[in-house]
Amino acid sequence: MKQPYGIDRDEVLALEDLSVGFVHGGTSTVLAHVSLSIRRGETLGLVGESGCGKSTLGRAVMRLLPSNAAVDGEIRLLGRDVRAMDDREIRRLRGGSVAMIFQNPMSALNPVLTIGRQITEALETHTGLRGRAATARAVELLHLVGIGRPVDRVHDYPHQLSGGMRQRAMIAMAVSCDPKLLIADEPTTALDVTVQTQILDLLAALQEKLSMAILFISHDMAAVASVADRVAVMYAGRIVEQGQATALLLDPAHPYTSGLLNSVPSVDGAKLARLQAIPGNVSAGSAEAAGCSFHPRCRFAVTGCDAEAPPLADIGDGRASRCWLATEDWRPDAAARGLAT
Amino acid sequence: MTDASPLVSVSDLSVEFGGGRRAFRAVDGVSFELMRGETLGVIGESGCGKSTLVRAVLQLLRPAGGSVLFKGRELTRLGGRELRRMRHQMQMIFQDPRSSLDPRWSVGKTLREPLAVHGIASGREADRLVDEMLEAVALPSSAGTRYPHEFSGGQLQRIAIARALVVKPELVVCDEPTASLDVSVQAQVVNLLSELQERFGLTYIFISHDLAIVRHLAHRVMIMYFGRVAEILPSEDIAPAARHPYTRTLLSAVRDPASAIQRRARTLDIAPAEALELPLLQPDGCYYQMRCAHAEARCRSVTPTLDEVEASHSVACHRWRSLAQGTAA
Amino acid sequence: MIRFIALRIAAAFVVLFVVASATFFVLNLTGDPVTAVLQGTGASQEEIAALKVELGYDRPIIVRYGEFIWSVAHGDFGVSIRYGQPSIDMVMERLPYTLILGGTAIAIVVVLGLPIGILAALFRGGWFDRVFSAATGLAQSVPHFVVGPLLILFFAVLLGWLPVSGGASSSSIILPALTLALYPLALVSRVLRASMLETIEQDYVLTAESKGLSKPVIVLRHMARNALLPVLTVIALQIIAMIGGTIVVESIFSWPGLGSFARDTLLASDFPLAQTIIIFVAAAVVTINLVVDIVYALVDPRIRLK
Repeated sequence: MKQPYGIDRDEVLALEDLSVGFVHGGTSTVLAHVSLSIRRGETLGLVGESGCGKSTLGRAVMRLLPSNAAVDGEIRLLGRDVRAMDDREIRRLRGGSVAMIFQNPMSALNPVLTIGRQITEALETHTGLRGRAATARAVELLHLVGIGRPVDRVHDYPHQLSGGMRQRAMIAMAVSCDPKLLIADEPTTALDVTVQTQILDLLAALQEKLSMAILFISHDMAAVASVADRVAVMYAGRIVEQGQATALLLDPAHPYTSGLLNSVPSVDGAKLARLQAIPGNVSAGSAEAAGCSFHPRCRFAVTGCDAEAPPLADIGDGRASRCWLATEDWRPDAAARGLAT
Repeated sequence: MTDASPLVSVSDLSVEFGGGRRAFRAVDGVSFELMRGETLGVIGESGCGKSTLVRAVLQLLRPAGGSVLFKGRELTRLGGRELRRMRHQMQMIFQDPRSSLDPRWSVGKTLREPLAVHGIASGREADRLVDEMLEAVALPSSAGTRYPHEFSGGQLQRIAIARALVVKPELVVCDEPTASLDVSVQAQVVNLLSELQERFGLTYIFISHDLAIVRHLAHRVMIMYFGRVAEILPSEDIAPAARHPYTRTLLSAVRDPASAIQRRARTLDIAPAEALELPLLQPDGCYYQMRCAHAEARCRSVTPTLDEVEASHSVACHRWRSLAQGTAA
Repeated sequence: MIRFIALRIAAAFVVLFVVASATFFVLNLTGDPVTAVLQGTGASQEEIAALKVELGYDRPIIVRYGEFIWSVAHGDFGVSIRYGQPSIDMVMERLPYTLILGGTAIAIVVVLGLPIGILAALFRGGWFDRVFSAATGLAQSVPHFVVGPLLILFFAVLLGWLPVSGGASSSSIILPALTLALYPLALVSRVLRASMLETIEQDYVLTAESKGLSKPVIVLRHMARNALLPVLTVIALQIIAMIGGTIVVESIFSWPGLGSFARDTLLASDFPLAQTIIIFVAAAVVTINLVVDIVYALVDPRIRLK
């Protein structure tokens, strides 16, 4: 395990104490003191519900936030401070060493340009490939992401492709300039389930082939489980739990993580009369509220949870949980069984 | 399921878009029965015709052929006025409550309107019914004076449910009612739908692309592929009992975190995309032939009929007898 | 694409046929042109009747209609009652002036309107945008018959830079073209600004930024092209509206084009000439629509490749 503040040659991305707020009249905090890192070839799954700040985090890395965003903290990419880069450097970084794919491949592709053109313009910007050579490379890339008859497809417009094909084209575009980090923001959410599996497999295969790191942002625990090496769970702008994917997903330590995992029914096994829902709503802006931001929805909340926010406590095995109850042994699932009996 | 006669009985229902020789059959000869108090889950990928099917059942779209019996009345032959008089018995809940609620109407007004339209209640009586319904969906009665933008997505869906139920319908069609909600709120809405069904004796048609949620909520599941029924079976043991290769593909695509982690030991080959896309043309024979690993000659020429495997389990596949039961394709 | 264009051209001819027929019947059912033209000129009833026979106006309307369609199809638009010359020649003499005037106005709209609209959107809320919105608001609220004289007063009378009226020198086109272009210029740039602001929010613009493209490439290749789609329709409608505008503007500036001529002709009930002018105007409208459809298909592949 990497030390949080050490210098690591394998480190691709490191966020230290990153906070983001949006200013309109007042300031609303979207990210609060987030620290995380991703190493070469690693996939970090960033899980959370809408409004938890996970997409803001992805955009902050590429400095793609709107102009009313107030950013604080450090964003280090391949050892360099992203926030200190000038416009030329940041453009060289975007689409070069860091690329991004989005939730909806229909709206993320320009409807009036061919798939091929949208790939070659990235190549022209970052690799100097032009004309026929760029088109030939685009064809190779389409082939790489599993699109059949790429020689024809390269001249197609987005509306001529199905949803899954569009997302593949989007991925081809993202990996065209050999990025060291791919930020995938909900890349499977808008797709059919059978297509989702294909896209997840594709991302995993490409990662191995191109040895890039992936920041996989999703609300879907199962999607994260099928690609992530490590997982960070976000709630109301903060990381509430992080650790190795297997340990975290099979044996969650934070009540929110456990609640998310338990609220999804299974497709086999006994049918329950009721699902285990987390009560209440994700309320916006609760990053500033006093105490633990999850405590109003937490079934384990005790006195004190509403007074002071818990720190992200180390609970061994490279895991951490932001909960006053967190210890090496305390697990919400076991505690819930204890409550029930 | 007390009454022996079905509440809804659909037979050979078809919907076409476009006319003449280039007409596209979005729904192609679908038949099913729905008992009182039952939930039928309808599942399939986008474009499989599931939303079109339920709109045709409710006569929001006029079908090209087939029949829909609701409490013994043939809906397809009813005129506009007669149909409007029956509307309050069949309600619909949509995917996105934000776009299905008028932002300029207070919640109370939104809920009182259907009562007035159907001539069910007005004045004090309407207010009483509205309060009762807000209580039933676990919203405070003070919600009545507030406006949609003051509520979260989950609360808005509760309001949309209240609006559908305030006219005391018998059949409620839910078109992906949880798809636009956060994971932690989805379960709340699913639980609410179960509670309301028990409390008011509702009959549901529940459309979703999420097999796990459909299984949880439905008594029977109907799997649609490209406008046709592939399989219809009891939800309880869908995983072991499924016969249709498509149902099994869907089952294997359902990922829960535990199984997803196990699956990661797979080979990392990049599968070509094309084989798994929906066909653009409706071919002869079984529509699933292009994606099916078990397709043989007759699958490419003869349309499979919906065969009964056992009571309340039917499958439209030529090869269901020879394909091993259970395990994924 | 060729099939698309062929279908559109075929449709254009159908429209022209319908317009020609409608014009014929509307004009001929309102009364008899010979009487209308010669009344009050001192011509006797016999002379009028003789001229009617000579010009064929004594025959049944359906026969005249068949003859009219037949000759129009062969490029013969009849003889002007008032001037006694082939009406096609008279139209052809004036048409180039109107085309040059309209063309210049359209060029002003496109060359100035598009960049202004784009810049106003990019610097939304800045000083340029505020000046823009005041100026376009003003331009949209002042009619031709006010703008024209004001321009004359300022540039021709006070400054003496440009001729007051007529079509003699090459600089005389500037003022009428500006007058004609002012309203569509304001409208087109406003619509483009609004359309650009919508485009800025699109996901594909974020994608383009995430690829590291430079700002001009993002603005021109990704935003402007998409933002232009709704603007094309507005431009087309404005060009068509300009045809009406030429009547006023040409009169103000004594521009020797078809617009001022059309006004005189219609007031004088010179049917053959009026028919010819109307058919030419219809042809212009149809051509503009055809061009816009083709441009639309070129810009938007979703229309081209359904």
